[in-house]
Amino acid sequence: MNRTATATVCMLGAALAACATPPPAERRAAVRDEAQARLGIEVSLDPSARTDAIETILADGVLTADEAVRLAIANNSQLQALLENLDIARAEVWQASLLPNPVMDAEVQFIESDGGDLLELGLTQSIIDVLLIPRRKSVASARYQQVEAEVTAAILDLATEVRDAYRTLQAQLELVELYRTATDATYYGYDAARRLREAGNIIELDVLTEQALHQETRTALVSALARAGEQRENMNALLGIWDATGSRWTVPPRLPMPTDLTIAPEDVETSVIAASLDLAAMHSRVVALGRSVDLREIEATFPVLSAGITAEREADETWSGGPLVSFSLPIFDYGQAAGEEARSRFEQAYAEYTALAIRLRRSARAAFIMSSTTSENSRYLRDVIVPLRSRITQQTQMQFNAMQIGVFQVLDARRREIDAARSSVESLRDHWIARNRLESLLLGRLPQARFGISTTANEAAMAGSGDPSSGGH
Amino acid sequence: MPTRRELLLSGATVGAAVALSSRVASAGETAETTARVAAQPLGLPDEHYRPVIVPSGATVPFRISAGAKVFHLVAKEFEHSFAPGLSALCWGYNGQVNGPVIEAVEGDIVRIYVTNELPAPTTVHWHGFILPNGMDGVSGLTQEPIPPGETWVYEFELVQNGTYMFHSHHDTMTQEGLGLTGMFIIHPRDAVDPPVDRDFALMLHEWRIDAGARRPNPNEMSDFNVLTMNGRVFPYLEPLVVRTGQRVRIRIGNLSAMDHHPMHLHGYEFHETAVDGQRIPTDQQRKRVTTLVGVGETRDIEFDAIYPGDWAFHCHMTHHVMNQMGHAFPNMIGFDAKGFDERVRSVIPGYMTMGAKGMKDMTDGHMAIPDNSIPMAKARGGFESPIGLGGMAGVIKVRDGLSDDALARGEDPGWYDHPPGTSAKRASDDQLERDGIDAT
Ligand SMILES: [Cu+2]
Repeated sequence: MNRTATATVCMLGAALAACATPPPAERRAAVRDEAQARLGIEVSLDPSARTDAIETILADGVLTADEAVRLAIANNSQLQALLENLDIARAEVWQASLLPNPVMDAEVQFIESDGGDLLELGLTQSIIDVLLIPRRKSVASARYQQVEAEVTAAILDLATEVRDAYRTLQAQLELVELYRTATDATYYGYDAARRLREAGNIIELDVLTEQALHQETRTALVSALARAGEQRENMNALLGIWDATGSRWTVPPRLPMPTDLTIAPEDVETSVIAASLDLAAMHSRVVALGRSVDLREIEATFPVLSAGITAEREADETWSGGPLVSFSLPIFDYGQAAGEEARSRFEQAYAEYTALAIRLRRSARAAFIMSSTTSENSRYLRDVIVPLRSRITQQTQMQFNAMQIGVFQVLDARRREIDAARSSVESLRDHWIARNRLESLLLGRLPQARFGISTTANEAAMAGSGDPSSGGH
Repeated sequence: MPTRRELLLSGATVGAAVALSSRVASAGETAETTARVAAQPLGLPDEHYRPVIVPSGATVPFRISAGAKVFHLVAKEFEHSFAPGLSALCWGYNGQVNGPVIEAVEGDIVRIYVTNELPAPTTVHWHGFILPNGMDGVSGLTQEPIPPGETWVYEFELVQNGTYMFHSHHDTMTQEGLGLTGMFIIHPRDAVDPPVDRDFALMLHEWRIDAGARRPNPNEMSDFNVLTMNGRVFPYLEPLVVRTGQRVRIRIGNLSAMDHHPMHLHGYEFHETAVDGQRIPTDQQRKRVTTLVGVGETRDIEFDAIYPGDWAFHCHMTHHVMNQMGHAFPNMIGFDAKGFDERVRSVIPGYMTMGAKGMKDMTDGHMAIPDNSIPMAKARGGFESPIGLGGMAGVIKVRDGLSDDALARGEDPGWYDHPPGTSAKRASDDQLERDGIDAT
């Protein structure tokens, strides 16, 4: 009898197994296609193509933002781990279509008891499981879709995080150059003061004042350099690079100016709602819970037939507090409580779904406002403030040439011009971070950083201050 | 500027001493004055006096009407040129800074119309004059100010002679500061002895015009950077040209806001012959080389121009012989710029250390300076090097054999040609050796 049962189970399993287990690359195709469609760039989820991807992308040494995203998706190890979830969920779908393996149960039963009524139990289980297979499969499929959505979401999140890190680094490198120029300018002020002191023209106090200004500016440069290094490492972490390859790439030295949105402002909210993977996932969850309401009711209707009986009976000591504690005599519980709980979970999921939709709309509006105001601000800084400061430097220099003022004022004007340029870069960086946030929403994700080594850069960027040590610009 | 002939032609019946009533139309009140009878004929140029020469300036034309010399001053804003490359919006009389010179003769009755084309009310005060209190021109004290757009009239008899001035006495700081000043020469009925051949009038003034600005700042109290004689900075004041041997008088008035000017003449000892219009008796005149002209004062100096040459005449305050000197410029003397400029240029393209050898630093000519500014102006005299003098300075050019016509035309004889052996030169080795000078 035991052998017969096992054979039956295996036959059933074999029949169901025929429809599963494609190779990894193909298994991930749906997610890849979805990610490509949303990101608008070609990506690879094929682990065997990783090395090639690195070599191709890093061939010219200059990393574009899109290349960085592609490289990260191909190579980020955290994402690789998540991708395995796809395969796991796929396996679970498969598993759901199989009968539990009675051999396994039998082995357990052998350990726990003398195995006298093993056969009946095994058969009983089989019958119920077979009855429940379509529903279990359906639940597993819904879960699979959810995992698929989660993995797609992770890819999109990674893309956004890479874009943030990319722009942050790009901005930081520009800031470093500006700090360097400011440091030079203050050095020349200090140098001029020393020379004037040497000539006997000024007092020690003047030299010290210039020296202090220089040293402080230099400190800001050092912090900026450190931050750039940290941000570069963050990029490497996102790109999944841990070896010498990490020094083989660079980014173009200037942040691009804001570009126009491809959709009309009035369409932003609806587009975000329509695109939201989170919302779609939530929808799937609501659907899945709707289905499990059915399922739980069926299970509750037949509690005496459930697999828990044997276990309960045989393993009083070993399983106390285990997953089957909710079971009790069917005299009192016909499943109405479990049904109630499931229904509440369903209602809860539905409410969460609604809350998410509202939150998305709010985020879309906020991101749009941030993106457009920072865009305007950065344009204003670039087109008005920086040229104005530059004209001030020129006029200061002309006054200097006319011997109306001294070298210190000229250097000071230049320093203020650099400050303005720094504000311009910071504002542009803030714009790109905000724009990335909006783009992420339009891709279907409420952005969240979870792949990098550090979020300080993003936090600092979102707070609108690139450098805590630089006061008053 | 009309010639003397035109003035005479424009003058109506001379000496017709008829009492009459003169009504002057104006927007508000009507001024009514009764012409007086002059005791003597009104003084005429060349007949009763030798007119003054106003370098870079002019005298106010007059006509004779109803027993008085009639002058017309129009106070208004206009662009005045202090030097090539520097002009500014000033307030002045008849489009001139500092105002045109009024000339008359002791005993004349003058009737002076004042048209106010300024945006503000104004008055004219006759500085140093003995006159009816109501003609003194102090706004609110002796008269209502003249509203913009109106023409008022002053009339009084000249009972003194000498070098006097006139200026606004309404919001004096602003209006004088912007240029509403002028000289008023009253010639004596009887010529002084010895008579002068060349009689010059110079009005001193000081301004604050930031390099690149277009209007003097009348609020400035101490840091003036444009110092002028007759509204010009050196070397753009017309030279005072004299034939060797002529007797010269220079009348100097000072209506600077805050500074007295010790005026120094090179190459001569001069006599200070008058102070504030008062002729000093000959036996009390002192020989000097510098005369201090206080604010609100006038000085006359006289000398016989017996030494040919280009003789500087300037305020001896060193900051007053600079053009738009930047007083915020740090002391750069002795600054060692070795290895400095090239490096700074990486941060500030075109940078060049200035002033390491003083304020007359050479520039490479490519360095941009503000429009409408002259701190780097490099006028040349008769030498390769630019003239190392600016501001409140002029030059008296004494030359042999200049014709009366040339003098009358106001021709500039050019730079002085020094006779051989009469100018400073690099010392020769022979000279050094001969005189035991060790210059190695
Ligand atoms: Cu002076």
